[in-house]
Amino acid sequence: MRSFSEFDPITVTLWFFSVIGIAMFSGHPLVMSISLAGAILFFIVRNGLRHGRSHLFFLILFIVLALANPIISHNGATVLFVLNNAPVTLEALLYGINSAAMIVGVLYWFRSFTQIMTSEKVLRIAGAISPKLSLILSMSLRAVPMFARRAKQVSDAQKAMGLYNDDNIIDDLRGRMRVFSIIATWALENGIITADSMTARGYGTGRRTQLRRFRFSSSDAAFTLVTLALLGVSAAAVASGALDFNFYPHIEADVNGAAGISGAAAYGALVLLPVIIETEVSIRWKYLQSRI
Amino acid sequence: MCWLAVMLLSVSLLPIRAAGYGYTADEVDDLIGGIIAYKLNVSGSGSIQDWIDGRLTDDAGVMSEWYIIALSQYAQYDMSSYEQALTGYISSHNVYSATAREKYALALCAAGSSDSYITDILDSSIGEVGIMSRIYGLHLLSNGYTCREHTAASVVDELLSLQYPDGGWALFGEYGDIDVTAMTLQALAPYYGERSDVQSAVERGLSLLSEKQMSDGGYSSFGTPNPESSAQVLTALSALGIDCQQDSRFIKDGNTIIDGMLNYRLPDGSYCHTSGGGFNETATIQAMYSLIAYKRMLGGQTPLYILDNRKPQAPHSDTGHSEPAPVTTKAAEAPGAPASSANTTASPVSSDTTSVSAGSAVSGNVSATELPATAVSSAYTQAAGSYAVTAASVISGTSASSVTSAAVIMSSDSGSSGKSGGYKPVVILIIAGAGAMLSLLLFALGKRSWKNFAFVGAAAAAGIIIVLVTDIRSPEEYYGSGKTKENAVGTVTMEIRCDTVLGKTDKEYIPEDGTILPVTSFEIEEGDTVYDVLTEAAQTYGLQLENKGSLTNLVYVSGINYLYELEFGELSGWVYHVNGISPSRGCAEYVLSDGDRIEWLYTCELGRDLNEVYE
Repeated sequence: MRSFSEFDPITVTLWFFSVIGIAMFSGHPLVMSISLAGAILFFIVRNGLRHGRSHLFFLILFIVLALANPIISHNGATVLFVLNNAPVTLEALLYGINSAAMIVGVLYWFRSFTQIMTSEKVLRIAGAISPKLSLILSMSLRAVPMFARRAKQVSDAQKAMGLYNDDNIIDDLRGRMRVFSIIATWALENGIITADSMTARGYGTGRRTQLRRFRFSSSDAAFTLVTLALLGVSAAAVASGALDFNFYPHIEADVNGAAGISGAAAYGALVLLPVIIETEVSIRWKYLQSRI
Repeated sequence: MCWLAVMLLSVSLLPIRAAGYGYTADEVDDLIGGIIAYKLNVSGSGSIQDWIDGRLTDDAGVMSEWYIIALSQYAQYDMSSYEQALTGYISSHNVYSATAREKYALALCAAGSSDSYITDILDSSIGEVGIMSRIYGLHLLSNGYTCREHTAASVVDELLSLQYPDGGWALFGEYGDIDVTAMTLQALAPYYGERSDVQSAVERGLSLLSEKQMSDGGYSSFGTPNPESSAQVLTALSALGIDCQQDSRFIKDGNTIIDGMLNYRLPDGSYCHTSGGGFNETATIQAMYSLIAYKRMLGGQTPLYILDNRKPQAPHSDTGHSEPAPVTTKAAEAPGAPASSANTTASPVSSDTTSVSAGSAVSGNVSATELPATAVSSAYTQAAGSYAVTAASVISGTSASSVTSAAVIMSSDSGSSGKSGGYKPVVILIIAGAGAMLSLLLFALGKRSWKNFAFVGAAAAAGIIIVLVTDIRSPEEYYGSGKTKENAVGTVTMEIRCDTVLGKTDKEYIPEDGTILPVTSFEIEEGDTVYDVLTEAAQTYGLQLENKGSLTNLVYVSGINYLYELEFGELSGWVYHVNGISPSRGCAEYVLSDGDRIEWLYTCELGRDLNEVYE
């Protein structure tokens, strides 16, 4: 069996959008925990323990998002304390943690999605729909890594000219601001030039061809069928309200129904599908290596 | 039989006539009959039995409960259809409010049910939300029901410990509230003759009630004269065996509590909440059961909340359940009855009360129910024989439960105490200490540019400023602590209602009668706005409140008491009226003047359902 990242782009995209869609449309803490835990697990299975800074960033984002809600929303019956005439409630805090889990979980999923779906694979899908869309996507997908490279160049140039002083916090921050301002100006100009240049070369006028050949194989079909079946069960549970969760004013959980439990279980299985495949593939790979 | 009964009745009531003022038992019966006739007319029922089987059964679990309790104590009816409906309602709804569970239990009990729900809910309900759950729970315990964790004696102890120094009881605050005090007395009444500590507590409560009575005989609550408070006091006095028309403590300028309450009687027999208002459900039902309580006291029957139809299971011998003592009421024991009038009142229970009660039940002007007098006699004999009834105890009406739900917010136990802002020096010290540590670290690491230290200093200063401008208080400190206004320039009233959503939802936080805050008076200082009064109300009465943009004077109130904008369609939300007019300004811009009347109303159609008059 192939590694999950080697599946057909359509299969991979369908799976990602199923997982992300359920995470976004269900507000149930159980689904949120499955989504967040699954997303982190998937990311670590693929990347190991590298990307420590990303994890740190997501952790800080999680804490900020979780704490923002109780400060903004004052619904909820259990008052923890009163901040300048506004009650800060336990329910609002839990709601904040829940939505932070959703947002961070979805961000982790998209992180993995962009790793797997290289621009080539995105173009394979988008190109089939519309040449114009494929042009815009290929340009925007290229933009973020390009800016990162460009920022490094500008920063190096500033240092070489002796303009970038980083021996104290204030000057360091000011230097970074200057680099950001330069990058923003350059990006605006670059966007126009690139667009003109690509139009002149005939991008977006016809169907795009691919360098690589993609084949929708029988394992793709099997994977798609399993994804659709599990998506159906969990989407039905979400749509029928079996996975409803009320935070305000009192927390009222409703997951006891068979539909709710099976929905959550199906979602858990859906999330774990590629992890299982990746683990199986890596075990087999190591096994085969050991026989050499 | 009927004729005989009426004759017996009039004989026993002679002393009242001799007193020269007040209402006779027949007149009281007419008043009750007027209310029943009004309700029959409104619900289109031909007889009381029709009403019970029809509208009251349909509304089981929603608004029938107090009528059922009142009717069950008025005469004997077949309430099996209602009982079935309520049992169905309870089994299909999660009832989160402890007082609502107890109300359903009482209604089941009144309907003659022997459902185990009545005892099952007691352990999880008593003491849950505060004083009201104890009052309601004690009524059930007084009816002979038992539970594991509480006994009547323990609940009585708890209620006594909640008494304020002024002799009253309240949901929060520092002063006794008329309604809550009266309701507590109703619950304590059966233990008046048994325990001397109850006796002295009740006497202090009575002095407060006597002191607060107005010259027209009525009472006011939250600064607004209303009939419900009078009804509660009348029920409490009747429960204690005090005839409010005889006791000089409760007659002001010749006006009795009944006079005070009847000021709110409308020509059609129903009652309004404030003088000049229209029909009000709560006022009507409370007037009805208080009059029934009074009549039962005159007739020597059990108190209103010692239910005729109760069917308690035999108490377990190992529970240590303190069962009320047998009937021992004598004229001398009737609390508060002045010595001079004690021997002339009709209140004491005498040996022939059985026939009197049967008579009074049948002689009502709604005797269309064809009630066999013997049924009442036997029911009462059974009641009097088994449980103690020093006097009646009555449970309050729906307005009490709405106030209770507002008090939910204060349920958590107080852990932290201390004056507001006491934590600030500590936090500031921590921030300053952390800044100093960081500076030391930078120095040690050799990053000794002065700009580094300036940055750390600025960050610490920002942190300290944030601590200084924020004010964190515990809910116990914040709620219930009304501000004292030194330079009050006038008084305004405010009311918060959500009638437009009634019947559209079964959310527990929406009060049954739509009243989130009854008409309440607030003192204002120069420049106070509608929003200031709303904030003060939220603070004083523990109401949940959510607004957007409170840092400027552009405030938008998005939710009150967990009821939020957009919950009932995209045109729903809170609006406010001042003196009946919708101002075209934000509520934090509207400066109030003396005597203004504020209403906060929930609209589902952008004000079109509220009869708005624009500024």
